[in-house]
Amino acid sequence: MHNRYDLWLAGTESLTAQALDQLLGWHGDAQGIWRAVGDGTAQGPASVLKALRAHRSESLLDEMAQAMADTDTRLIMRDDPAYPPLLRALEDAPIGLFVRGAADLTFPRHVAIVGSRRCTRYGMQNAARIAAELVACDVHVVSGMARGIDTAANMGCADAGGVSVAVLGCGADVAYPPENEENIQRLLACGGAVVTEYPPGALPLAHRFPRRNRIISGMCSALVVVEAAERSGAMITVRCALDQGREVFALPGPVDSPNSKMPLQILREGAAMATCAQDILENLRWLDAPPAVVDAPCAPDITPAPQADLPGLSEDQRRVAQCLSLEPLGFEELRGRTGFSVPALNSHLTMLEIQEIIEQLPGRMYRRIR
Amino acid sequence: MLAQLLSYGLMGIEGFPVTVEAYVSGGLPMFEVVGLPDAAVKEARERVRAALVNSGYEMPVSRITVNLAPGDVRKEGPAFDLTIALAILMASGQLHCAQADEERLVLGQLALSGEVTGVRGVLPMVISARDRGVREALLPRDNAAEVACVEGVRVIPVATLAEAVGHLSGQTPVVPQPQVPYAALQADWQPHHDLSAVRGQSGAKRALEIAAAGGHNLLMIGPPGSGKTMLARCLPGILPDMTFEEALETTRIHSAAGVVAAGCGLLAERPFRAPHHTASAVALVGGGAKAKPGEISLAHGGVLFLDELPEYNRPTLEAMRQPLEDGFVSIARINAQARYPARVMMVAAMNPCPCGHYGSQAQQCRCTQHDIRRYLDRISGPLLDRIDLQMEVEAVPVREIADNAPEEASAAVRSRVNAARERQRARYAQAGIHCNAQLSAKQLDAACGLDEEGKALLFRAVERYKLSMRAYSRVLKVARTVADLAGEARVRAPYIAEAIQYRNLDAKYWH
Ligand SMILES: Nc1ncnc2c1ncn2[C@@H]1O[C@H](COP(=O)(O)OP(=O)(O)OP(=O)(O)O)[C@@H](O)[C@H]1O
Ligand SMILES: [Mg+2]
Repeated sequence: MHNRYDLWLAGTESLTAQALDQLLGWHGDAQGIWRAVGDGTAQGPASVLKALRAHRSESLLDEMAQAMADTDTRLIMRDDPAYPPLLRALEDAPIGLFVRGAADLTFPRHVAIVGSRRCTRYGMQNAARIAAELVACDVHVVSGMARGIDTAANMGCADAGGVSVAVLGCGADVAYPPENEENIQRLLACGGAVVTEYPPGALPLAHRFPRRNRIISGMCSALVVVEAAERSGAMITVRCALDQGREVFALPGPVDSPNSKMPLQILREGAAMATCAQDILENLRWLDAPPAVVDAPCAPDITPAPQADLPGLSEDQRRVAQCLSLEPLGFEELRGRTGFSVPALNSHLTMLEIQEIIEQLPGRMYRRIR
Repeated sequence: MLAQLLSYGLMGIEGFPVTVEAYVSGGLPMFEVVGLPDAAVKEARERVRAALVNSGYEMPVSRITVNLAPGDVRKEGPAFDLTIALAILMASGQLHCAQADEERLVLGQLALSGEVTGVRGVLPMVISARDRGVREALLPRDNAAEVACVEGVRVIPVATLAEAVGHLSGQTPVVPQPQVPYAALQADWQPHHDLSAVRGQSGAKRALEIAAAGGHNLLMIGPPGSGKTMLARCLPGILPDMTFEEALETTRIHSAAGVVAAGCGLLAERPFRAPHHTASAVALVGGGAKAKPGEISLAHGGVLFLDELPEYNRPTLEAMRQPLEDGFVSIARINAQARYPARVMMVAAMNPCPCGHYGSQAQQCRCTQHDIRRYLDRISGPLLDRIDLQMEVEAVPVREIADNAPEEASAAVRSRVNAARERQRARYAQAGIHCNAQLSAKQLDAACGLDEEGKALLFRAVERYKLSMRAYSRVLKVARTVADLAGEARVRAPYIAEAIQYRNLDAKYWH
């Protein structure tokens, strides 16, 4: 449990772990620092003292406590047993984490998955797939809940029923980007957590995101990069992970895609390859877990094409279904292969879609889903 | 001396008679035009003076008063020049009409040299004049083709003031413009853009055919260069043949707007209007100081094509909602009022995302999900509700475009569309509508006659695709057209199943 003065310290953004350790050395505990700053006897760097003085107000603390109560947020200080142990060991560990949600952050198996906001279907699908496979192997998935790959990883984990941790660059009660409101609710409902070092109400300012990235890699044993173009924010996370001595993995993408630039680059430089959860588990020697078997919806591209009998279909519908596999096929191509007229093919496709045997993708592509 | 000639003015797409009186009397020389003329009419004085002198006539050195009656309606434009000049010649004794009692209409603008040049709105003015018993019309030669199909009026095309004088005096009568029956015009007609030029795209062509057959609005979504614009331009060629009345009505609007090219007659092809996305609401819907028709009226009876739909201003699109619903535009101004028909097929095209490649196999999309959502959100829901068919267009591989396999020509598609429209006309004879797109929710059930299998399929579709009530009736309307194309009286399950393929964009792009 944190005390009231911890809130003051954790809410002061410019207070680093090192500076705090110094202050604690001089003044004992949080309350001691509060008193010393109050009567002007505190020692330490002037800029830190100035920031602490600016935030030293009972009413500010009340407000913060209220905001935390409203959103069910708890504060976990560095010395709290609930603080993520891997993170605590870092020199620049956050002095406190504001946490929403039930997830156990001391759980020994956290893996981070990050990537580009401008991503492709391939990237999103595979991020979600690996997240789901990790869930099946009893691993918690950490990401930044940014648009694109991050969201795919966080939600892929949550949707597979796993514990998903979203590390934000703003207050835990701030939904950014806005569509995250709904995602966060889903993630919390699955036992996940939202983690941030910023106090409630803190805005998503640009400088906060790179700092946030050190927490993502810092609380995990490994980092997986899925899709990132050359100068992507994911590079910062990779650098943090390397500084922190974390294992770095990359998921290879198509060699001609700009989004594969970084994953391929770091693979060349010695990062480990992650094509599935098993690759990661083996590398980390977490092999006691049951091997990952994930249901098709999250991992359609690796399971073989379904060949189930399809009772209740007409001869023609079956012919269309048989031309389709998990590999999407365009309408015109499909027409060429089946030889049906456009009206007939349209009609068969709808019947198959309604029975959830096939699905339609953007670009008038169809694929078999069972 | 006093002389009088008949001219016509334009209000909306109707003409109204304007009597031009000229009075030449003694007194201080002056030249005055009265009768609520606008600036262009007042300037007629200078043009008339120069044209008379340059054609070898005399400008009377006396007091000239020209009156345009009725005096309480504003007269606009240069169309009275020729009438004024001729009336002055008559009033000053330089011209004696051979058949003075003939009901005759004179229209035309004068150049300083005495040449007669074209004016806008000749077709509606001549039709109105004919209906009031006018038997002869002296018109600029440039405009003669425009009215060649109007029966009951002798059209005298004149190129100069002298020719007009020669005709009226009976000394050198001008040969009347030969009548061109509408059937002859139509027989010669070839679509500007033929579907046979579009390779592959069988799915998209089918959607065009259904849209044309039922008069449905259509939205095409696809990456750049996939042929959306090309496909849309082929639509006029597969729309049902224009009847004479339709051609007349549309040409009237074009004439009133002054967009009929010189030498062009009645429009035999349905109009295809593609206003740019920077167009203002006035340009689209009509209005302005002269209450001119907008693009939506110029597209009357044909296609209004909105390329790059998300780029249009939202207020501009909103302004079009009412006319799309009503099929006409009413414009009221202080001194002008008009009602223009505006029954159009709206066809819109757009990319699936800002970079244009979302969902494409050929190229990678560079947009975030959020970018895509924001892009699609620019299109208002109510506008989408007025679009029955949505269709994705994918680019045809270049090797297939180079292929020479024969493609079906527009004429063949048009004959199927004509047959389907005929069936709709027969069915809706009593209902006061023309095509399936106009079906109201109430009329829909009776028109479709669903069987049990069809109903069961619809219910499953509603569940599976989470169809809203509106989407549901759009599917039914399109299914009705599919059945009409198949020549069936009842809308059976396979038709519904096909129709569903033209709306599931909703599900994929607009969650
Ligand atoms: N199926 C096809 N058959 C023949 N030519 C085609 C076909 N598809 C595209 N083309 C050619 O490609 C050109 C580009 O097509 P078009 O301008 O219609 O694309 P668009 O979808 O409107 O693109 P944008 O989104 O950039 O407006 C056309 O001028 C045409 O020559
Ligand atoms: Mg185009």
